[in-house]
Parts: sequence; structure tokens; C-alpha cells
Amino acid sequence: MDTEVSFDGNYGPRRISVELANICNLHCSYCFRSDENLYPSHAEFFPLELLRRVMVEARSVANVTRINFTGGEPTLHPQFNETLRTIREAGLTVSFVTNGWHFERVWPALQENRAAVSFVAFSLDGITREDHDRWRGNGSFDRLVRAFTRCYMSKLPFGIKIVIRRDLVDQLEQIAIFAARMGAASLHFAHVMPTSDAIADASALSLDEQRAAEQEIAILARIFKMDIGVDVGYYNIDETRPPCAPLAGVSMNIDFRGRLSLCCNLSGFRGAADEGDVVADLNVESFASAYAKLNALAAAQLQKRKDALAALRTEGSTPDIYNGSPCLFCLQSFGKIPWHRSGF
Amino acid sequence: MDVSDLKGMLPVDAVVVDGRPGLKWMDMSGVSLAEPFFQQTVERVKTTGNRRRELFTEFDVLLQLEKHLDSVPPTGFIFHSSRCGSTLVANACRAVPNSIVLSEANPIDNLTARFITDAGDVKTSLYSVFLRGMVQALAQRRNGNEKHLFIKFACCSFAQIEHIRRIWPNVPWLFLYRDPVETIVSNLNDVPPWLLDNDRRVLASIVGVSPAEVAAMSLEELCSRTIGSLFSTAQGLANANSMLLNYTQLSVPVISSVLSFFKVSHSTQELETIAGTSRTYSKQASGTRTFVSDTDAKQKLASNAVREAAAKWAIEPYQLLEQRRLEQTARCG
Repeated sequence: MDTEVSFDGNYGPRRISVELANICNLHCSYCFRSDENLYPSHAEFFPLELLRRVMVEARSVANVTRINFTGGEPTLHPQFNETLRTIREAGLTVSFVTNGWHFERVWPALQENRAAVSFVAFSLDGITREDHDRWRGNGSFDRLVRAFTRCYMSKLPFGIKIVIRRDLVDQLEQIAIFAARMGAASLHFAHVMPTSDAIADASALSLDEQRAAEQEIAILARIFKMDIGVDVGYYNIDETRPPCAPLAGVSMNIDFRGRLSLCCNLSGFRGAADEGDVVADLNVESFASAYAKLNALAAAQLQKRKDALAALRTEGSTPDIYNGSPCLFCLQSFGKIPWHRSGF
Repeated sequence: MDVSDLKGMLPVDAVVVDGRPGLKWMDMSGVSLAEPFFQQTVERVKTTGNRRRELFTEFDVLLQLEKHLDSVPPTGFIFHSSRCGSTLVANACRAVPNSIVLSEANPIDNLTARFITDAGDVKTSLYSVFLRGMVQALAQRRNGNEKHLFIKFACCSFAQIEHIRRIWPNVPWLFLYRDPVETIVSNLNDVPPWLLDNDRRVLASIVGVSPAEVAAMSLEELCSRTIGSLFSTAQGLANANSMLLNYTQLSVPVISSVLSFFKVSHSTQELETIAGTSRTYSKQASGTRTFVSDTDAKQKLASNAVREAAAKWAIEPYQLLEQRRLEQTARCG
């Protein structure tokens, strides 16, 4: 049985992640979004007019076919129904990541725009009520299971996203069983994106632990039909192709302020010292112009990583987790984790 | 694929396609599992009548089916050390009205073998969940009135009894065995697939050697060491929830006591049907050949190599198991 983790080069549809809201109804301690982004003095929501304009331009310029809503919590957008309708009328498809708390409320909107809604990803923190609700509040697990059932019964493909905290690493197999029982189409793991030494020590896995977890996930992926993989933070030093969709130019991010940036995992990062991943403000700049800048940034970043890996090879060093993981490399080189002493 | 696509279908094999383990399903609507072995029923269905719909799925589907199926929980498990009368007992169970007998069903035994072949790669809990789902899928109430489910495992599956007991801790289990010389003679006379298995990891695990060492063994030694290991496992794990049964004991009253042990009540008329099944050769699907105990014939056929292998690897575990059975019988009065 193949136990190696490999990236198969499928970057998914050409897409834009849009931070539909800057706020979230939950407050998960390991979340990498900064408090200033999530809990500001006032909520900010992505303007519908800007979404309409960007969709048209992105489709024409970058052949974008999918909009993926993130946040904050995207279902908190007061015009959530209208955003779905806008995308449906534009002939694009939409997916979104949600904690599921408000799923019942937005369900009619999903049904109304079912033709455009291609996928819903739910964040999970544990496979029992007790484990999940410890992180996400009482009643959260029940709401989530109800949402799974809604999707399953109406054949709306849904996936589960779960961060591999240290306390969950022994449960990967049980998580896969749970997801399959719920009828999930995908189960995507993410490593903890460290926002401080304290978070890294408490929740993140060491490189060896990560590799062991990734091997177990690869085995599960061979057994289940459900698409199982590691989305974020995986170790990948294969230089024959870009290690992720943003660096392959297949996905990009627009924050709640309307600024185009490289990746949703870098945007609004807690404790960040720099925003070099942001290339343009789409409120004042055309998508075409911003997209050209983004492509240049992605190419430069890809080269930067190749150079860093080549330098390590010359030294005869094995890349550590901050170089071996494309996500951590970007966090480091874009100044998102100034607390971490980088090797370069 | 939707689980509703599996209506009327049963898993008929657990296979690996392109490195991915999965299940073969076949439309078994209206098909009674009447043959002594599950795969005989599958073959009958494949070769007679209209071509039946077949499907391949991954294991995930078992987990989703759980919510939809009305299944019979297991009544009793039949384990054995090969060629020792277990099919006769399974046939007797089949004679009990409203019963389902899954006799050496490939999907169950192939999945059970993965506890060995995938050991270390995946925690056993995953295959435990799949095995429970597999049994639920096979034990669907297809007529609506099924009450009993008997599962006869292939002999090598007994090596996984501890995993199986963890899934179904309260299900009573029977272990049938026979004099090792007679067992080896029978297996050499008509070599079964389990002794010729090219993936030698299962036998290696049972015998406690490497696959390469299994490949180098004579059939006499391999058979003897395998059944010796199964005897030792049975002797070590026999408890109040188990029943040990020697081939020499097989009779209608004893089979009746097996059913009682499985907590299945049966009428006199049903006992007569069971008696009828025990008088026919158990492994023949048509049931026309008469069963005759062949102890003397097997002993006469035993070569020196068979006797030596039995003496070296199986006689002692057999005697210890016999001792355990006699103690168990004495305790039960």
C-alpha cells in the first residue's frame, strides 16, 4: 500500500476566494485570522457591486469559473442570498467555507440558487459533540450534523475541513469514518498555521509528527472514495510543479476590503508584520491590472522558494518544516510570522 | 453513486482494484443463500438466468448504508480448523426457519484478512467498522422475517477472533476441529485455496514466520503449523461464550445443543430437517451425496511426512485443546 504523500497536480477550478465578511460568530483560539480582522469595532461586508464587477472581469481575464466565499463567516453577510443569486446569474459556480452555525438560516438561499452552489465546506473541530463544542460552543455540533444531513438528503456535495491539532492527531481514522458516515464528498485536513510560539507549541505538530499524520492521511485516501487530503501546511519539496493552487496561478484571494492578494491563508494573518502578498486594491484598480501583478508575485515567490530549496541542497541540509511546507515558507517570507526566527 | 442504487444488491467480494480496496456488488434480488458456501450461490446466480447487475464501490458506502438497512444482528459465529464438519453445522443452521447463513463469504473473510495484510498501515478500528458494515449489508432482511444470522468464517479468519470479538463481544462462537492427521490428509488430498494463497502474509502471521519462510515450507508443514496455531488460539481464548466441538462428536443431538448454545429454539420437526441435512455430504450444493465419517480412511492414508508434521506442530496443541474442551464439558455438567 502506498504510504507516500504526493500532490497529484490537480489544482481545482480556476477560482477566487472572496472574504465575504470580516466577522465571525465564533472565536477559535487557533484561528489564524487576526482579531483586528475578525472582531473590529464594526463589521465590514464585501460590496455586492464590487463582486459583480470583479466576477465579470475575472472571468474574461483569468478564466475564473468558481467563486469561493470565506471570511470571517460568509453566511453573516446580510446579502448572502443576493451574492449567490449574482453568481448564479453570471453563470459561475460558488462554494463556501462555513462553521455551519447559521446554515439553517441560509438554507432557503442555497435552495433558491442550488444550480450555482457547487460545494459547501464545513469546519469541524471534533467528531463528538463534546469535542467539537469545546472549541465552537454549545449546540454547534448538532447544528453541523443537521447541516450535513440537509446537504446529504438534497445531494448538495459537502466537505469537512479539520485542523490537525495535537489533540486530534490520534483520531484521523475516526474522523474519516465520521465524515464517510455523514456522507461527505471530501475530508480536507489542514495543519495548524502557527500564529505564535505558544500556539505552535500547544497545538502544532513537529515535522516528524506531521509526516506521520500525512502518511496516515495518504493511506486513508487510498481506502476511501471520499476525497481525502491535506490542504494547508503540508510538506512538499517537489520542485517539478508549483506546490499549491495560488503559486500555480489557479486561485487567488480578495479580502473583505476588496484587495487582491495571493492566498486566503496569508490574508489578515494574526500578528503579521507585512502585507507583501496584497497586490492591488480592486476598488480603484481594474482586475486585469491587478491580476498581472499577482501573476508576477506568484512567479517571483515560486522562484524564491526554488532558490531557498536549492541553497539548502547545496549546503546538504534537509529543509525544515518552515522551508519544506509551502504555506510556512510563504508565511515566513511575507512577514506573517515575525515571531519566528527564519533561517534566511 | 447513491446508496439507493444498491437496492437489492449484496456485496459479493472484497477486492483491490488499482491499489484501492473496494467491494463488488451484485443484484441478488429474490436469491436465497441456499448453497453450502456463499460463493456457490454467487456462482449459481452468475451462471443461470439473466445477467445480474454488478457494481464496484469503495468501502465508504458501507458506512452510509448503515443508516438505511434493516439487518439481522449476528446470532452465532462458526469457526473451524478446516475439513472438520463446520459446513455440516452451517447447513444445520440453514435448516432453522428464518435464518441467514453466511458461509465463508469472500467479502467477510477477505476483509478480515486485511487486519493482517494492512496491519501497521491502518489502525484496526477502520477495518472493524467496515467489517461490521459488511455484515450488516449481507444480513439485510430481504424477506422481512429473518430472525437469525449465522456466520461461518473461513478457517484462517479464526486467527482474527480477537478483533471479531471486539466488534461483537456478546455473540457466542463455536470452534470446530478435528484430529490433525486427518485434517492434514484431507487438505493434501484436495488442496484448498487458503493453503495455496500467493499472498503469504496471512499464513505467515498465523504461523508466526516470514512470508519467505512460508513459501519454503512443504504443504504438510504449512498445514500442520497453521492448524496447530488455530488450536492454540482456540485453547487460549475459549470461555463461557464459546463452545469447542470435535469432529468426532458430530451428531444430531450435538448439533441441536449447538443451536441451543446459540440461543436458538427449534422444534422436533426442525430437528428432523437438521438430521436430514447431516446425513448428506455437507459441501455438495445439491445435497444428494450421503455423508459418511471418514476417520478410518483418513488415518490409513496418512503418510509418514503427514504424521511427522502433525507430531511436530499440531498434536500437542490439539491435545491441549481437547483437554480444554473436556474441562468445559465437565463444568457444564
